Amino acid sequence: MHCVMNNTETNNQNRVLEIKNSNIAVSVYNVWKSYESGKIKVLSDVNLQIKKGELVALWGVSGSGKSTLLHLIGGLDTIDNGRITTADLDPTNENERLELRRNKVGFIFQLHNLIPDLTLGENCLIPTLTTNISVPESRKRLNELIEMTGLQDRLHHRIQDLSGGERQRAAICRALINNPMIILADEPTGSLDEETGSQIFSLFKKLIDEKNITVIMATHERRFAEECDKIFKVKNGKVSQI
Amino acid sequence: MNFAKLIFINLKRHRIRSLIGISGIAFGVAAMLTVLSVITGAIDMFEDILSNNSDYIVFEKNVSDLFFSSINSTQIEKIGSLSMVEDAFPILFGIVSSENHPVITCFGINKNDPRLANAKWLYGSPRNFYSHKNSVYLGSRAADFLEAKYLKNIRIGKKTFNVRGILQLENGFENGGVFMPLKTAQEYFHRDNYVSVFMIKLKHTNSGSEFKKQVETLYPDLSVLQNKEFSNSYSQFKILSATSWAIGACACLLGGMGVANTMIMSVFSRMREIAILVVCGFSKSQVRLLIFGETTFIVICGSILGLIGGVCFVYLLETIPTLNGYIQSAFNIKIIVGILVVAFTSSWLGALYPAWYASKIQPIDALRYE
Repeated sequence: MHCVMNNTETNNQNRVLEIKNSNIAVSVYNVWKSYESGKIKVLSDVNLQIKKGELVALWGVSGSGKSTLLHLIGGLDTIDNGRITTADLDPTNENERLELRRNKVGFIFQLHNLIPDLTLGENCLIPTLTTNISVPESRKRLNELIEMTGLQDRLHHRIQDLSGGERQRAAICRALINNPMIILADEPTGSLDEETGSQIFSLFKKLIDEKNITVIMATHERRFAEECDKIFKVKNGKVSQI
Repeated sequence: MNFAKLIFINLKRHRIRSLIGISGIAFGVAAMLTVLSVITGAIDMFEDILSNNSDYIVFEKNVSDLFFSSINSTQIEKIGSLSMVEDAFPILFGIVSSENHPVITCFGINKNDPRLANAKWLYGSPRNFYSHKNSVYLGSRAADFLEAKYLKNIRIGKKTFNVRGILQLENGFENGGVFMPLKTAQEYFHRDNYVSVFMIKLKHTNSGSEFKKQVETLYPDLSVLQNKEFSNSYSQFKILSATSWAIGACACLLGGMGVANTMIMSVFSRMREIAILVVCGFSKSQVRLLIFGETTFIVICGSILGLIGGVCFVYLLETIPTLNGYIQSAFNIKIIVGILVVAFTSSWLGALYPAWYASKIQPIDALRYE
């Protein structure tokens, strides 16, 4: 028993070293996920690897499991079986998951999920409350991001006074404020018109160019998926690269 | 952007709910302050009656109430003649009644009793105390509610007395009381040669233990206590004090339950918002801190309002003519700290479940939920 445990620990350590030394941002090994005690199978034996600085699309129709996979990668949901490593951290471990959310990963949702009573600027600064970033530093980062996303005139506006595209750009600012290495975007263009959706997508490409961030985007829109570095097609809980 | 802002936005968003929580605590604190200050004031007044220009109190051992204590004249003479005694004041307590006023405290005292000299005499003079048979002397408030006039007769119980003086005394109980010469009171209450307590002033305060020892050796059926010792050990005071703390704490606990309800509603109505904070990296302890922060703000506002409201209410009670004099509120730091401890503890206890629930919110479920 002791010997088996030692072997397992050594294998895990080797795997961690392998990932840390490599250029891998996200690794998903034999991941299974179901709901309602296995009655609804969402993901079956999913395997994939995403390199740092890549723009990746998880493409599939609604209900295919792409959002679930994204949530598992970000530690928002728990896996039934398998192993996920995101930014060298294990999302199933509580402490590592916290570190992941605070410093390594930024989330963007289809419905922006901004707090309506706060201004755009205040919403963007929420993640800084979880880190030791100084106030001047967080202000500096906010100004940079606001400038990059073209929201200078909207900084002190409340969320209800912003358009859908502005809200989504604000959500991007919030996701980037702690300088994460990975952005997980769940249908970021899903609630936007075609033109605004294209603007948001262009913004992702700009981010990768300027900040070398990995972007994993769940989308059902083929036109955006085709412009990504890598496409993983999600269908009936199975994932395959195309 | 700071953490406090996140606390305040929710309180501001649900103003009515926050106000209900604040009101609950405010009413609890005000009720507790009222009960405690009135009872403490009453105890203080009674202590004041007993400690009037004296160091020690002598009374019958193992009596449940000083009204039932009996010390006979032989004992009084012997104790009064002890070498270390400078002055001694016997008091016979009794309850008298008149039409519409079934309970009036009566003090049977001697002419040398310091309260006669210390009182402001509105009518009559302390020099004439004892000079008339069936004479009675009234506190000014007692004179008011008995509608008694100086030198006129009043009916007390089955007897008629002549009002030979009206005194204004600072102590509310005394000012609402009836004073009789000791002999008259003993006759009236059928307790010839007996008094309730014997107040002793010593020549030197350091001879207290010797005095106590001598009295207890002479009369094992008597208790001798310093005024402070008596206050601390008198069971009636203890019962009153404990009851007032218990009633007050119950009021505050109800306020705490109101806060619990407010916070539960707060958590349920902002599951999505909490989920967003968790997604942004908030730890469980930060989420709990958010809930406790809201609670603390509510309890601070409620306590301040409650203390102000309680003080105003007590002063209002003091001005009610029928209660005038019976209520002499007493505020002290122990009461204020005690109330704040109960208010904060009950509110924080009330926030435990909402805080725990909030910290358990799974972001993905909450984001899906609304």
